[in-house]
Amino acid sequence: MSTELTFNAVVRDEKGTANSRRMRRSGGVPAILYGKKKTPVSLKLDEIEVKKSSRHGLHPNALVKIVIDSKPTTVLIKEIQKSPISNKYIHIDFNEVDLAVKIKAMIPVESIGEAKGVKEQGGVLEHILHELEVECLPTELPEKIEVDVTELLIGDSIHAKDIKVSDKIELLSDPEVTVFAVAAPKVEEEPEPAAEDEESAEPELVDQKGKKDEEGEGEEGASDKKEAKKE
Amino acid sequence: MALLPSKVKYRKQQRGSRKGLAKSGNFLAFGEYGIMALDRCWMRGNQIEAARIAINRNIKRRGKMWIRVFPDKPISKKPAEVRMGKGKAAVDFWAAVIKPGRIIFELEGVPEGLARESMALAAAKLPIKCKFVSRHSE
Repeated sequence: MSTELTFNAVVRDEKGTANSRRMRRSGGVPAILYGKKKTPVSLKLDEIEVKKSSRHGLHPNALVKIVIDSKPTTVLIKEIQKSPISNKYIHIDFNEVDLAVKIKAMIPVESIGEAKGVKEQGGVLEHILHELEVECLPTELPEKIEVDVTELLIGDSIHAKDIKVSDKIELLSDPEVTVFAVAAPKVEEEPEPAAEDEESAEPELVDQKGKKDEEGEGEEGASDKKEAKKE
Repeated sequence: MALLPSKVKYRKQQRGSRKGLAKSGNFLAFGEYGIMALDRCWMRGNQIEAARIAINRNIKRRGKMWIRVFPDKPISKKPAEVRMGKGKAAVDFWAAVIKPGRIIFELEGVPEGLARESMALAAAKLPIKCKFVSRHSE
């Protein structure tokens, strides 16, 4: 578990896209706090505070402290929305959870070390599953699950059942699902440079047959009309 | 090999809209590293192919690569010195509609330094500005 972060939040009445955009321009980050048997509360966070905390373990499933009107509450970060372009924070979801009740969460999986199959045999380490579902108390939620892959040779794989996690954490993902595998290097031949006429190659029409018939009928109809005009 | 669909329902399309940010394909779905578009464009099949070759040559076919975009939009163009009218022109090239935030290539099974280098080479082949993204930096 990472060290607990603290955010000072203000309850906001202005809701909606336009108000949220105005808030972001003025250095705020819109957020929401919800939970079981609790009416959702819209919040405003300070952008600088959020940015600073991002260096100290701000990630989904982290337990943080929120101070609203000098009243601290321990909450779980449910979702963090960031702009893919500017990397600015768009919105944060906080979930008020009962710390004594187990919850389900998706935890990212990371590899440690370099596999023997990659280092000595020239294989490729395939990271097939990036997240595993676990069930545990909110206080026991790990930031990530680290898996040692150093012993993997070409053709070997690590399944969900092979991953060792703390006794307090229960793995819910299918135990047979493959998480890491080392594959043999692909011998892919470089295709020859495209011929000039390939650029102008046309794809086939899905309903070409039906269309052709229609076009044929249309042309016949047009020629009939012309003949009628001449007469 | 030219990148274009094998079968289409209609031969020509209208121009469509390139407004807004990428709503799909805007996160790393398969690999560990990738390049993200920072601008909008119609990316031609040959540009995607050139970038793919640049990556493959640099990683020397060691890792695994995913191409997340496909040129499925026919773009027509009238020849030079042709008057307006007389119907829609013939298809000139096939393009993928790229909006800011779209992941174009993904890479896995290579060290970060090599991935960065390969993606920079690929980005040089593309008509827009791109940025390197990785799962660790998110």
